[in-house]
Amino acid sequence: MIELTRRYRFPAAHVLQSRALDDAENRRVYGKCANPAGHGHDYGLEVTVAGPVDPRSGAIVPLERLDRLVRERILERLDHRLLNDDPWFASAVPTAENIALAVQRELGGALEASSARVVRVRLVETRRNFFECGEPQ
Amino acid sequence: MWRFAASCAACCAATSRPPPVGLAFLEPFASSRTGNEAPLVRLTRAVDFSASLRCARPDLSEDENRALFGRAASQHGHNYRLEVTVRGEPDPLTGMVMDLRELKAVIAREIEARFDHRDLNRDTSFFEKSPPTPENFARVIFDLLQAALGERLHGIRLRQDVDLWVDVVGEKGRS
Repeated sequence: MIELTRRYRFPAAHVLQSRALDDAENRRVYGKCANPAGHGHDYGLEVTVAGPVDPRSGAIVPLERLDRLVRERILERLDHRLLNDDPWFASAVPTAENIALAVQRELGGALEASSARVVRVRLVETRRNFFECGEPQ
Repeated sequence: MWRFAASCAACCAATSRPPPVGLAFLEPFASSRTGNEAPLVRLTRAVDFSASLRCARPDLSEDENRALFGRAASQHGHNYRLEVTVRGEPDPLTGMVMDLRELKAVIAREIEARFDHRDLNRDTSFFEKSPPTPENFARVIFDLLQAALGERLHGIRLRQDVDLWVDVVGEKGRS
């Protein structure tokens, strides 16, 4: 089994507040992350691809292609934005869990035309927490 | 399926955030094992080395190589970091999966002696037909270490720089 992982980053802001909860409950559930004015992180995004190594190029997928995919589908959408404004989070709180799930859904089938596939994403929110979804290694 | 960082429970406690609803929160890592050959402990040792290389195929022209490999078609270099993971049950007497001195010696002999401060194309014979892309280089390293360590080798991670790495895991390591 061989996998290649590329790391990207996108600073973004979010507010953790559920519409199903009132202000006091949001404060209780999300703590300081519920600050209505927002806060932000320098998110790291690690995208892992797997598949046969192409004998011609020696690569699972051309790096430019992976970079372009992540740039067009994810970074141009989320980089330097307030995540709550994105339609992905119209009905879901932009917790790191939900961001990771949205990214995995977006990238999951995106390399269909090639033999490579995105098998896993890891969203690194801070140095102390990261969130992974997709197939376990 | 979901896997959470070990620190997630601590993070949720620290920020009063609830565990995500409807997800298999804190599902034990062990539950994804196959059961029969699950190793008890995996041990990883890292080593840094530097090498120069050029991604180009001898059967292609300069322009074709440039189109296929981009800037990597020129000679350049990397500070590689290699993480070697071995697996096994700790020896009941020593408490060790493997003597770290032996692992260090194997990595020094099989990898550092061959590749550190060398040119991957000119000083080794591994890349005469296929270029030293991170995928190909990681496979070469895995095969060399597997020949030396056998079943004890779980897998390797070859980091070409902080933003790019390749994992190779042996068939029995899939869990």
